This record gives sequence, structure tokens and C-alpha cells, in this order.
Amino acid sequence: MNKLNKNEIDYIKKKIGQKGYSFLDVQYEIIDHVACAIEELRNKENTLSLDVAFDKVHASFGIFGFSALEEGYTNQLQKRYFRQVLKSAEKLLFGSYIIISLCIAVFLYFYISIDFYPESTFMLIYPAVVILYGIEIGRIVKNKKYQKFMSFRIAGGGLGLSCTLPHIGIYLSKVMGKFSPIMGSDIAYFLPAFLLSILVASLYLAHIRQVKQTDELMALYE
Amino acid sequence: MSSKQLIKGSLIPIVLKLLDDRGAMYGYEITQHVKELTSGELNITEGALYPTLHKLENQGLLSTYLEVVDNRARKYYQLTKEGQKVKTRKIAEFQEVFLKLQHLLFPQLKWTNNE
Repeated sequence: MNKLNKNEIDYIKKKIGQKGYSFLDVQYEIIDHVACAIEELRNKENTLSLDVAFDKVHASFGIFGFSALEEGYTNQLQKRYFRQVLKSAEKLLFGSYIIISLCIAVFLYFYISIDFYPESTFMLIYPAVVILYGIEIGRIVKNKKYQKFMSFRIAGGGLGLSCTLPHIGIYLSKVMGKFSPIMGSDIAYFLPAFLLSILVASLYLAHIRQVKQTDELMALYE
Repeated sequence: MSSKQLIKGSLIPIVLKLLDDRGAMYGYEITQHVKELTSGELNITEGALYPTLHKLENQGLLSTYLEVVDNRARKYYQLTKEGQKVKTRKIAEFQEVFLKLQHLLFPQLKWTNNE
């Protein structure tokens, strides 16, 4: 069977991109199946042009085209990211990263005990999120290729979620104010602030893991 | 002519069995192998196969690895240890349902598990 050469593969990649699948890792999810099908078609009819063969293969995917592959890959990335967040939280609370949690706990408790307004503990999440987000924006600026990968986008979305956490923290500080006479204000503010901090840390650690996987994909595909 | 709904319902045991027999396979290879084994009677569409493969991977029954082959990256699927345990169970379940349906729809036939 005649295999497609590198130029033909690049042409097919371009055609897949023209169908609306602009992320490189999504294109690579699709390309092997399409290339195999084209090779088989051209093996049977060796006069078939690449364009016609591509159109025939695309038609064989049905009315939704390659979207089943794209959707499956995207869902898989989202589920993988979510599992990584849970795994990171587990490591922070019970595993190898527990030292980070202990440092956060000590810092928060110390801050609450000396601050006249313990509600402001939640405001500490703002600068943490800004710093982490800033690091990631720096990563994108340094290597714009990250934006071409769906796996990086999914991770970025997860980190973006952490931007909403300070707002949740402010709401929580009003709620916890009602419990402070019962629990004592130190515990009432410490527990939710600690848990929100662990969540931010888990989202960021999962993001780093996903970025590493994107780096591996980049190395493989290029 | 095979019903698409029936095939879709059987896809999981088919995929698990194939991967257990053949080791690692890629998506296109799975569709072609099924076509070959059934002399073209069973045609698994990409729209049915890939969601199934992704679902099984999310459940931890399959693992994947990428290999550069013929100028492109190829994703191979293989059974995990959990997948191997589940494969036996799924095929047994499928066989049980198949025999019950057979008994219901074709009571005159007296096939059993052992025949």
C-alpha cells in the first residue's frame, strides 16, 4: 500500500483545519484515521486525487463530520483535568504535598490571629490568583504555540475558574461572620479560607500537569 | 443487513474482546479488523467507535500511547488490568442476554451455553 508522504499529511492537516478544527492536538486526533482511510481508497483507485479522497473520507464520517472525534477528545481532556485536580487535592491534604498545605495553614492561622478583621483572610486569595495567572500569561507570551493546543486551553479554563474563588471567599466571609460567635472567629474564618486555598493550589497543580502533557504532545507532533 | 442500534449496543464487548486478543490496536485498525472478520457485514462507524473508546479510557479500562508512524502520530489503545477483568464480565453478560433473547424470540431452538 502506498503511504502518504509528509507533504500530503501536512495538506490533510490543513484541510482538517479548514473544516473548523483549528487546535493542533485535535487535528492529530483526526489525522491518522483519515490518512489510513485515504491510503486505502487510493490503493483501490490509484488515480484518485488527494482532494477527492479527503472529501470521500469526510463524507463517510456522517453529517457531523469529525466532530465526534473532537468532542470525544475534548471530553477526555476535561475529565482528565478534573481527575488531576482531585489527585492534587488528595496529595495536598494527605500525600506528598502536605508540607505546602501545612505552610498555608500556618500562614492563614497566624494572619487571622493578628488581623483585627479576620474577614480579610479571604482577600488574600486575590493576590495568589493574580500571581499564578500572571505566571501562565508569561508562559503563553514566551511560547505562543500553547494557544494552538486544546489540552492547554482546557487547563487554562480550569485555572480561570480560580479567579471566581475570591468572590466566593467574600461571600463566605459574610456567612462565616454569623457562625463566629458559636465556633470562635479564628476557626470560622480559618477553615473555609484554608479549603479555598487548597482548591486554588489544586487547580494550579493540575494546570501545571496539563501543561507538561501539552509539552509532551508538542515534542511528539513537532 | 445488521441493525445499527444492535451493533452500537454490542460495541463495548467487541472492542474489549478485540484488544484482549490482539493487544494494542489503533482506531482505524479496529474498524477494518471487524469488517474483515465479518466479511464486510459489520461496519463500525467512526461516530460509534471513538466515543466508545474514549468512554472506556475514561473508565480506566483502556490506556493509550502515541507512536509516530508513516509521518503522523498514531494513538494505540490497549486494555488495562481492570479492562481485562471487565472484559470477561462484559462478554459473559452479553452472552447471557443473547441466550435469553434467543429463548424469547426463537423458543424452538434449543441451544445452550455449552453448545
